[in-house]
Amino acid sequence: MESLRVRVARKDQIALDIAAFELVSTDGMPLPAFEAGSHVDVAVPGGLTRQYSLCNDPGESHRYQIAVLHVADGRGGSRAMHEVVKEGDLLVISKPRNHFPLANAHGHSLLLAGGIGITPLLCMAERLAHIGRAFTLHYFARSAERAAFRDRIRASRFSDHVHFHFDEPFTGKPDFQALLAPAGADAHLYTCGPKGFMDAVLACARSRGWADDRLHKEYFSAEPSRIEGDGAFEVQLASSGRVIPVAADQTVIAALAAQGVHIETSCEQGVCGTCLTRVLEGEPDHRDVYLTAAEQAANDQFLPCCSRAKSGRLVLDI
Amino acid sequence: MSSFIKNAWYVALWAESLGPGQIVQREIAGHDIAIYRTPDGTPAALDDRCPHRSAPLHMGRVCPNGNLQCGYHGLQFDATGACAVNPHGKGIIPVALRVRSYPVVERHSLIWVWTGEQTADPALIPDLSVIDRAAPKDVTFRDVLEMDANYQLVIDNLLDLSHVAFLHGGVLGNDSTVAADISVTQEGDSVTVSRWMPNVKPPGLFDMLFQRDGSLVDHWSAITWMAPSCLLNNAGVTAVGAPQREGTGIFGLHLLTPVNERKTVYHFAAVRQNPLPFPEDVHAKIMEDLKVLRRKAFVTEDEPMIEAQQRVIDKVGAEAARPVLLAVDGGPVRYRRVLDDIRVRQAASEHRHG
Repeated sequence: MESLRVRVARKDQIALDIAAFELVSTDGMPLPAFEAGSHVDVAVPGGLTRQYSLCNDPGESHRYQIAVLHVADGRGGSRAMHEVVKEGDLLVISKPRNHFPLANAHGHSLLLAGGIGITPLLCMAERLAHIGRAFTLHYFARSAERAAFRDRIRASRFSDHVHFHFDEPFTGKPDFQALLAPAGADAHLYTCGPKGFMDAVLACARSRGWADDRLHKEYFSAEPSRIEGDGAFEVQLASSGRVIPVAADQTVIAALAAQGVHIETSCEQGVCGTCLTRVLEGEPDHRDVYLTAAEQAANDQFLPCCSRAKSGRLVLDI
Repeated sequence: MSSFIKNAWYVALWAESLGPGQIVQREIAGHDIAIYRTPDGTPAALDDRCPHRSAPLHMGRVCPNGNLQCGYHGLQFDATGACAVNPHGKGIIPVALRVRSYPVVERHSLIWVWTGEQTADPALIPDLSVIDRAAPKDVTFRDVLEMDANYQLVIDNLLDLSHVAFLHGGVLGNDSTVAADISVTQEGDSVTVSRWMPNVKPPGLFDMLFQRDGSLVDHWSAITWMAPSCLLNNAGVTAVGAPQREGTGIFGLHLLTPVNERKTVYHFAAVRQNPLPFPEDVHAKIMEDLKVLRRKAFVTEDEPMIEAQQRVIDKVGAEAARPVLLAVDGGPVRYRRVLDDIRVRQAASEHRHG
């Protein structure tokens, strides 16, 4: 990644389990510009890389602001940000990148934030307010003490456009129908938050006939890094001709097991080679470390516990 | 079947440990070998058994003419293993009166012995030239220890350094070593496992080499296994975001010699890379601490664990031959595959020639 060195100018506990970090350049030069919805990769102490959305006003060039939720049972990225990083420390980050841009549209923008998912949406609210476009921000949190940026939002010029919802929203209770009902046909929806929250928001919008080009989403998972979407494909058993679909979020091993076809596994992560299977047709997408580069390039065998397919179908010698 | 690679160079001992007139006995991959220097300093290696009455030759002496004389009945053998002098009777030397000699090379401040039948090519000696290029003050004590375990368990240990956080209590590595993503690369018969750990707390040993205040660093470690059993670890730290060449670190030499299936001799030393210009006394203290910390870690932490692991494996048998592996085991799995491949290649070659 093209990296920047930044200094932690401020670290503030802004809500229960949430710390905000203000990152500034080390040489006083302006930081690269960013758009609302952008994130940076942060090389977190401990060797992990984590993505955090920028949540300050995108008009600012003297700082980047990120907010980090402490995830107690994660792999340690957020814990290190909370417990190790302190004011004055240097961090290496990527330049901002944007996978969640505001659409170039004039209708009303509906922003639905769940928990720490407020970060990119707050940045969008700043931008929308700045360019004078209509928007409403609904901010769901388990409780007021867990809602970051309450004071900043209340003091902002757009505080009238923000609604807080502190009612254990992750149980599926919030009435998204009521929030979406008043929106016009040219409205766009932006959502970020825990997966369950976003799935509920998006399902509701789709059920009301919102087309996908009006739905904008940023999945974050606080811990594992963003995975470029895996696709679905199918495998065929050479012995019987049976074709078995493999869903995007499913391993080949799991898809086969679901159909009663069992392959012996051990490590389940492409290290040991126990499940090595011959490939007769199709191109595997190798994700293992067991096979050598040359063996992978031959494409005549793969490890179904972790590897996937570049072609639509793999014919397996089983 | 033995786990050894027959046609390979093995470290017999540090060159400085083989003085003039000394005869050192070493068991290497099941071969008992007597190693000595001829009067011009050239090392020689003969089977450690006199063909007359099976007296070990290392109990004899090096003659002024360079022959090795058996201490029991005085037969003399030259460096090729041929008997040169029989002091008995008419001094007849039957053709059968000879011992096997082993190809031997002194390189990288070590004595290397080839145990195979195929032609010994010195170009196959692992490249440890880092120790030749360093100033003497930047090389630690050349150390050695023994472990009652198969050499592959020791390679497993070295090629997956995630254990340092648990076994060595933060001195050689810490949480960041465990959390780091690893990359495994193979080049011919060598395998490298690399970890890049940006912006982490420096492990104790590396803080000692660098800023010495515990401040965060970028930390790297790349350990290379060279078949069959030598490893070179390139590890160091640099300021957060700074290039590696501005940092400092060590090259760790970890040279394993299988004695038999249950015993391994482990030669080790550390060579400083890019040492910071500390005052002489500070530098000397660092080198002393490096020696002591590393020896302590290997002898009091690795050795008991690996020996105990060997005892468990011997007891449970087949079940232990199928370990449930973790993400960190990419390197160990790969080197074992390379070793298997070498065994197959050498067996095939013997079949052709034999």
